[in-house]
Amino acid sequence: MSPEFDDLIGADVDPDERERLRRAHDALLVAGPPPELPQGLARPRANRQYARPALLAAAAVAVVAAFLGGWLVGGAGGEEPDFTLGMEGTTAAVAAHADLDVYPIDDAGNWPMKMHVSGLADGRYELVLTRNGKPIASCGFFLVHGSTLAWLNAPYKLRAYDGWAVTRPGSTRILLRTDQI
Amino acid sequence: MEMELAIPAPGAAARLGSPAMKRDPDGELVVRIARGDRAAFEALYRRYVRSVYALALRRLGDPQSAEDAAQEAFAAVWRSARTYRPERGAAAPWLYSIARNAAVDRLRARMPLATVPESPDEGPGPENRAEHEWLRWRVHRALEELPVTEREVLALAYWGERSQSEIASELGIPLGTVKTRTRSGLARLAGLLEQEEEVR
Repeated sequence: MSPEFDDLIGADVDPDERERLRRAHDALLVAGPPPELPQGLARPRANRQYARPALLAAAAVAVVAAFLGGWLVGGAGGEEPDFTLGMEGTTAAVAAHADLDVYPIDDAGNWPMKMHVSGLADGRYELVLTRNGKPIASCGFFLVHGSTLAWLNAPYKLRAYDGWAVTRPGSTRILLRTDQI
Repeated sequence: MEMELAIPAPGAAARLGSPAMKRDPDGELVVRIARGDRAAFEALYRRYVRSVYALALRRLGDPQSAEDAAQEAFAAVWRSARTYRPERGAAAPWLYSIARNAAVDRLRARMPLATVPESPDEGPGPENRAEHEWLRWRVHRALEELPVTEREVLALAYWGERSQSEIASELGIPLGTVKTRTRSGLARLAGLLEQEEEVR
């Protein structure tokens, strides 16, 4: 269902400006939403030796290994994160990006996390674990003001989930997500 | 959905007679890339990666192939930035042609030679398709330039199928703010699309 131009704009716009806005409105309808960016395109390659598919596959294996390694070495403690995942904005937040550092699990079963997020509108958000790409379990709320660093926690068995996402509290619309793992 | 567009297709500005060339920030980045400036490359990448990927995805229909084509397109930008001539036109159409060629090359590589369609294509003609593809490219590119607050409201209204009241409720902002952001977002988008025409 396309939004009605007159409902969006209202009546109190002069004819020339109305025509300009109408063109932008029509352009948006024709263009449709931009696609979600795959993780492989989140960052430019560091040099002109662009990765071949085999290298991309190797990188994916490395991410999975790092993720699984979190359980194997969990509880070892230390200052360094067990693994770090990139999060990219969906079509609802195309400029958003986050890096999620997941630290070793503690004795009680908590996975402390540090998330550096940028490109989201100022406001309140929630980090959730996903299953089949759907938000399932909350890892806490955080406020964004510009580029923000937030500490969060996942008191869960991560094996039961396939990734993380950011939503608005009370909404299931995903704004940022990791690749499914 | 097909609709009449008031926005010229590639080449139309040249046919109509462009105004004097204006500043082209994308072109300045390409010139810097030609000198090996990595920061300029990253800036151009962030501005265009979603548009390049979207174009490749529409052409190829497969996310993995589209991702590979996007990688190839940016590798080509890095390699061939020295061939870009600002006096011949803005960087956006130059990038568009590189992205389109990367997608077409990948499409050709997986198509058998000399395939002939069994029935004539009854869809829009090549010129219309090219015009729409160019418009999508420019709109997605321009969206990247909007403030987050305006882009968020437009995305919910146009692609999230939310009413303005629902948007206000979901974002926790007054209805009047939603209306203001919608209007200012559309105005900014119109300005960006017009501005891009002027530098071509």
